Amino acid sequence: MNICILLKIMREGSINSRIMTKEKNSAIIQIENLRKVYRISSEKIYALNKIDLSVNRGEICCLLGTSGSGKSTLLNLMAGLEKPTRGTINIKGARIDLMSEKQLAQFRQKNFGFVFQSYNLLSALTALENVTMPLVFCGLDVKKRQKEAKKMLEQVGLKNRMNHRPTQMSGGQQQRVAIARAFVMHPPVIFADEPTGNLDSRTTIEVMEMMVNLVHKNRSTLVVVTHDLEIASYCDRIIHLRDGLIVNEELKHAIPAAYEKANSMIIAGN
Amino acid sequence: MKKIDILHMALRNFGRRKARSFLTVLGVVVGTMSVVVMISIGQGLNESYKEQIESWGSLTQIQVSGTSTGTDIGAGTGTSSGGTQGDQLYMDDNSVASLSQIPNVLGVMPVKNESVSLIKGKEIWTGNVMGIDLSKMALFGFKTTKGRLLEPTDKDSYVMGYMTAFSFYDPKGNGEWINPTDDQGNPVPLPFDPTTTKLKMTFDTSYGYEMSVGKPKMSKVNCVGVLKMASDDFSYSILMDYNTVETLKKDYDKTQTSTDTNGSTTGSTSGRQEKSKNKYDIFYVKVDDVNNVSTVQSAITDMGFSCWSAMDVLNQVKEQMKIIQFVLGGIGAIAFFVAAIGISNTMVMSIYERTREIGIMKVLGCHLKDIMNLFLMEAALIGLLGGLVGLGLSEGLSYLLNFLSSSGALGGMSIGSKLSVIPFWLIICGIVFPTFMGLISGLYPAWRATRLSALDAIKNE
Repeated sequence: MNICILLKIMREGSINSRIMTKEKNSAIIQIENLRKVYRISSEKIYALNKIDLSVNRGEICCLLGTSGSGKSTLLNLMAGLEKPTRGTINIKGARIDLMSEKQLAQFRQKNFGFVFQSYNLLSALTALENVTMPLVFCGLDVKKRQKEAKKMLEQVGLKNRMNHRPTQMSGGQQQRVAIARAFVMHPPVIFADEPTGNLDSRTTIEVMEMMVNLVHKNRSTLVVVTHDLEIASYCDRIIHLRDGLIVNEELKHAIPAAYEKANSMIIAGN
Repeated sequence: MKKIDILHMALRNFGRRKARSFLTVLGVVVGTMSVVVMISIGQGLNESYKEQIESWGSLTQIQVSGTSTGTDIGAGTGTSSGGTQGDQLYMDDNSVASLSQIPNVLGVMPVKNESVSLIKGKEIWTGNVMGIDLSKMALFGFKTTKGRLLEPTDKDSYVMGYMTAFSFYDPKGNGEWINPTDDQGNPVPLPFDPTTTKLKMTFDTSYGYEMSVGKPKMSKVNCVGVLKMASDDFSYSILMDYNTVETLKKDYDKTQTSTDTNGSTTGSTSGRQEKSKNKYDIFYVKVDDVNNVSTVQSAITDMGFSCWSAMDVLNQVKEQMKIIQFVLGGIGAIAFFVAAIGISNTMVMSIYERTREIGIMKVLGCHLKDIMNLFLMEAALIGLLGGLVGLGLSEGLSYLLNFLSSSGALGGMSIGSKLSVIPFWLIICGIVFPTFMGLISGLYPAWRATRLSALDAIKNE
């Protein structure tokens, strides 16, 4: 995997220099003056407006809001699934908003992990094959990717469910497969869109604790979109959105110094 | 993404919708079969015509039947250009020499035809004795089915054409005809052995008939062999040394003019005088290679001879065959085109069905190129599989057609030995072309797949 990281760094270096900007010390995601306008017939709808936001390395950040607040749109823009109408999105020093589809695919492959409300597993594949997917796209050989995927599934406690298909698993198990898939490439940023929206309260706790654990273990950064205050309680920082605007930002608890230190070491390593 | 992984995924997707994959492949199978079988029938026709034409005489053989400036003796369909040469051309040894000078000509065999009858008891054959230059015989690749060929020392011997052996009949009795070939066109055993049977020969072609007068002079010759089956001129004649024919003919004419002064004989004498400058009736020109026949032929025509070769007919037939093959191939191509639409349709459907899957792949960072390749691979696989199965079935069908045509179940449809011929290049085309077609049919759907918005795809629940 270390070689993979090295390769990743090298590849990123080759990405259009226009896209590369100077990275501020601790912020992994930086958003400035972001706006997203949807046109429905002749009417302009501001899904997001004047968003300024920065997410630090190792932070668990929650985008909290009711439906229609623009929280999912913000996540999609950060993940490069949609293009902003105006403004800049800077992730790991790269301008997501300027990237082509091709560059985005490459960037997503190396840097992002996704967890969705509806799991979005491929139903034809087994749990193991689903987790292997990102490694297949990365071009890893069979032995290595089997090993990585198995290790990941063990970490989410699905050691004996590896060859089950999504339809043969409960919602919680499916979401754990999705989590394993999101973390298998050890990406620096994980996006989770209502990860527990389809789960009961007990499984919700299980899944959230697992995610937080893995984020800490991998020194990743997590952005969670939710309307659930309970979920928000797992986060370091909560950003309240309403009608496309950030209305409030609260810091739940300071990032432990240990993480700060670890992160700065990674930066130095890079 | 590795190529092997793309192939693996494509195979998995292919197997996931078995019924639909099967039906799409079936379309390609039918398309491939229709093209392959149609072309194979065209090929079969082509080859059987070639076979037939070759049996009229070797393709490297040109028949010079006379001079275009003089009397056109032969019944050939030769092209004649107005000879502009100052010297009058004759069918003589000078012409043999000048024809031999043409590049790529291996040799020239002059032939003098005389009418004779062979008598086998009550049965008679009347036809041509061809007076040939025995030294040139080897050049023309004669083969015997019985006995041997003539050697330069065989002055009083002859070789019998295959068909001649079957053409004896009793003019006074009810002629029973033996077919020289069986239903499949293969030669049957000779009705008698001419090398051991006692046969008499005379230049009186009315011998044995009602109008025959007196006892004609018999020539003392014997048969040493029978040629292999063919449909050329030699097959319907007997072959003998040129000088022997001339001598025997003179001997015979002497007896005729002394005993008989009938009009018919005088007529033939006057004909003889007219021909006197034409020592020979026909030249057979042997060319070294099939590809040089046309050039040699036009050189001969330019010299002022009229000539003919089996290549003339073959070229004409080839032109017609091209049209027939084009039409047959066109009919097949329609089925093929429909199959291509089928592939496109299946792939487009598949993309609608797998919108979410494609979206997930995109979100997980699958490169557009890989998505494109995946769908192209699936389409090409359908084409390849259809091509392989179609080719296999075509081989079977071709075998069946040939079996039926040779057993006569298809009536007079077959001309030669095979109705359907699948040459090697057609097998290669039968695999490469459907695969390529699959690839082309997959282009649009694959492009569509890459254009899908990842976000819309995963929203779709």
